[in-house]
Amino acid sequence: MAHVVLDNVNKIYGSGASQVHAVQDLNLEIADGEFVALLGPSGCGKTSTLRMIVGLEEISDGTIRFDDRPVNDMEPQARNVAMAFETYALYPNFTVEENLAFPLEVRGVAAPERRRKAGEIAEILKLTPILGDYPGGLSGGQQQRVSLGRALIRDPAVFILDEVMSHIDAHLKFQMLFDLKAIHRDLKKTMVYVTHDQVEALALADRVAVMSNAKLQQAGTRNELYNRPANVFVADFIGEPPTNFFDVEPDPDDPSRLRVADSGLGFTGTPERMDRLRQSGKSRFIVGIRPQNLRLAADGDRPALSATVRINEYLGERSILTLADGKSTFRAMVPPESRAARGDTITLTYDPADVMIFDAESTVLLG
Amino acid sequence: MADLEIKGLCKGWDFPVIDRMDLAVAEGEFFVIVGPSGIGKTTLLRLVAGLEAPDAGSIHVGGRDITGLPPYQRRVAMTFESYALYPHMTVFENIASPLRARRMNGADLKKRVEDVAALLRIDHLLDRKPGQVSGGQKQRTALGRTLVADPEVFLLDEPISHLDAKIRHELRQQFHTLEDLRKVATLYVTHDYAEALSLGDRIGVMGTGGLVQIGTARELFETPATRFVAEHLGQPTINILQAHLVESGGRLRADLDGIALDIADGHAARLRESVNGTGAVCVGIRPQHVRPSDEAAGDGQVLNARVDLFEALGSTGILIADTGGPKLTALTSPERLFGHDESVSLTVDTAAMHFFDVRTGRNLMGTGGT
Repeated sequence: MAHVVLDNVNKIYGSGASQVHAVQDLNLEIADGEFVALLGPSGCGKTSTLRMIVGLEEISDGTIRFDDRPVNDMEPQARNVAMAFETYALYPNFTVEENLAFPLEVRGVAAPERRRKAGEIAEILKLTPILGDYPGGLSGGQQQRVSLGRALIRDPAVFILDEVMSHIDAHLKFQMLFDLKAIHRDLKKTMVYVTHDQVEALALADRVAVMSNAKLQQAGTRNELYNRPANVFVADFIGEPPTNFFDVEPDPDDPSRLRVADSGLGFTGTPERMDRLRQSGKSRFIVGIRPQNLRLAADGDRPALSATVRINEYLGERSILTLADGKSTFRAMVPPESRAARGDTITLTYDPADVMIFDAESTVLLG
Repeated sequence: MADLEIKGLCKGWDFPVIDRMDLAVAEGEFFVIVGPSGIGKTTLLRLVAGLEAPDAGSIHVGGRDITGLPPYQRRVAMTFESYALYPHMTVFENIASPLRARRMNGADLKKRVEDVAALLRIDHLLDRKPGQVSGGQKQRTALGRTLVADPEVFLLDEPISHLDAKIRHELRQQFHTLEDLRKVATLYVTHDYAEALSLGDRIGVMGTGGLVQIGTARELFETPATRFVAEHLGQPTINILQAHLVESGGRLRADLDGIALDIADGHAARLRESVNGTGAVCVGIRPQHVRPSDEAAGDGQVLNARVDLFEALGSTGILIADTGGPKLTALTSPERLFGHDESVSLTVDTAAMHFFDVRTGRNLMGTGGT
């Protein structure tokens, strides 16, 4: 196990005019035994980052350290990083046990020791009953576990999982997320999970590092990313249904309120945040509020918004209302009991602490 | 303008995939078929489109039997999961292709294509090729090509399942608001239950051989006809627990291997009648009806448990609790974090429990749909 530090890491492909800066000044620290997810849309630089940790890609600038030891010049095999991929790449002519033990066989470990280690890993991954089976007869979930087991058996310093679940059925995926989380709990290995799927990242990792445009946007726990997103990108990328955004300006008639252009809506932030806005001297902001933070109002609730229902999507566990006022449309998540119908005018309330306010130019969170 | 009616439809290869299916979709209705992959949903669409011939039964559009007609005479339009766009043609030409096939040309064609593109908000992309637009825009192009053909029946095969969550939300909204869809009979196939509940005027849950239950979203979710329907709709999956009914002090309770849950009076009378002599029953409890006691809104029975696993997802948290008896999945607020082995008090909304026959899986309380 290892403590991993990425210190001002850069990756530049090509040179001159065709140069591509794929990873820019990335700083990230992964504690020993921590589970960190690298999350971002395709092309954000997460795969380049992962390949530099593994040693498949040269580090253009900066340092990567495992337990305070720079690994920049170390060959991949010397780094002791294990990797599992989306494709299982199991040997079809080997049994589960032989597949698991293969990395040890390559390293010249004696047969009894190989068998003992394979048995141990199989126990953790619940593969013991199928040790004698061939991959062809296994379910997708079982094949995935064998592939994880094969990566884990040589006791790697860092364990990397690259989009391992992107093609798995939703129902099965849920179970596998829980399995993987339990495996991490039992093994306490340093794990880095790379994905474009926020549900997977949030469900699994202790901390999520959100990347976009070659840069780390924010690294934090689920609650930090949800409640204090560093900028509009993070607030927009993290959250399902997506966060509602409004272009706003201070209301000249009411200093505690931010007025939405082209509609009658307005938002009130906490007094501290509103003070900070006044001090910033700016006049245009972006308000973000998550659909689950808008609630159906009871009488007398303040602050409140009124809008017309466009769509009521009943989803079983919850309903999503799509609402409109003037040119603004936004969503609210309400209990499934709600019978609000198209054309109804409803009133919603929110906690001022849930109103996220961003600078309109830099898109950075102000409060 | 026409309705779609399927009568006694059969199709099989080595085994029956669709077995004597009857289904009527009204003009203007958006009917969604949901079911696990490989169950025959796409086969059904291909039969209606005329890409497969049925072994028995008939298909009618607007009262006219179209079973023997070739696909191009059916006025049935289908979009495919893979979009199937022509890569060498622009978005405009892709959308125009059904009209060109009917030898429409000139101003009429241009206007028709532009109208449809504006409706789908891809009018700024008409000069691009499919390779130069995003996945959501490709899907809209495919949809445009279907809409432009002015069909009587629309068939949509998993049109949005492979897109990003954000684009899925947007396209779902578009299906809700497209007035053109309200003039035809639409058959929409998906494996995603949330998509089905969101979009369907009525929904059919497909199991082996055909439709297990048809109803509105609320009917299916709140009164599933069978255990299969209950398990297929909902994320996380409904808790299904083997139980024994026991009488104690004039009340009926469900004994779940260590814990006993009270059965609401309304259910008890019906259960006493319908359960066989052994008292064995399958109890279904949706995770949303198991809540940490301090978050629970209504009444219910309180259980003390320990946290086995907890995951904070986007808008909910999922807690797997060890009750000493069976493990229960509960829905929580994502903000509060639970540690492994922490003790937790859960409130189970026992009035919302479902009861299924252990052998047939049938809902013992009856159902809302058909």
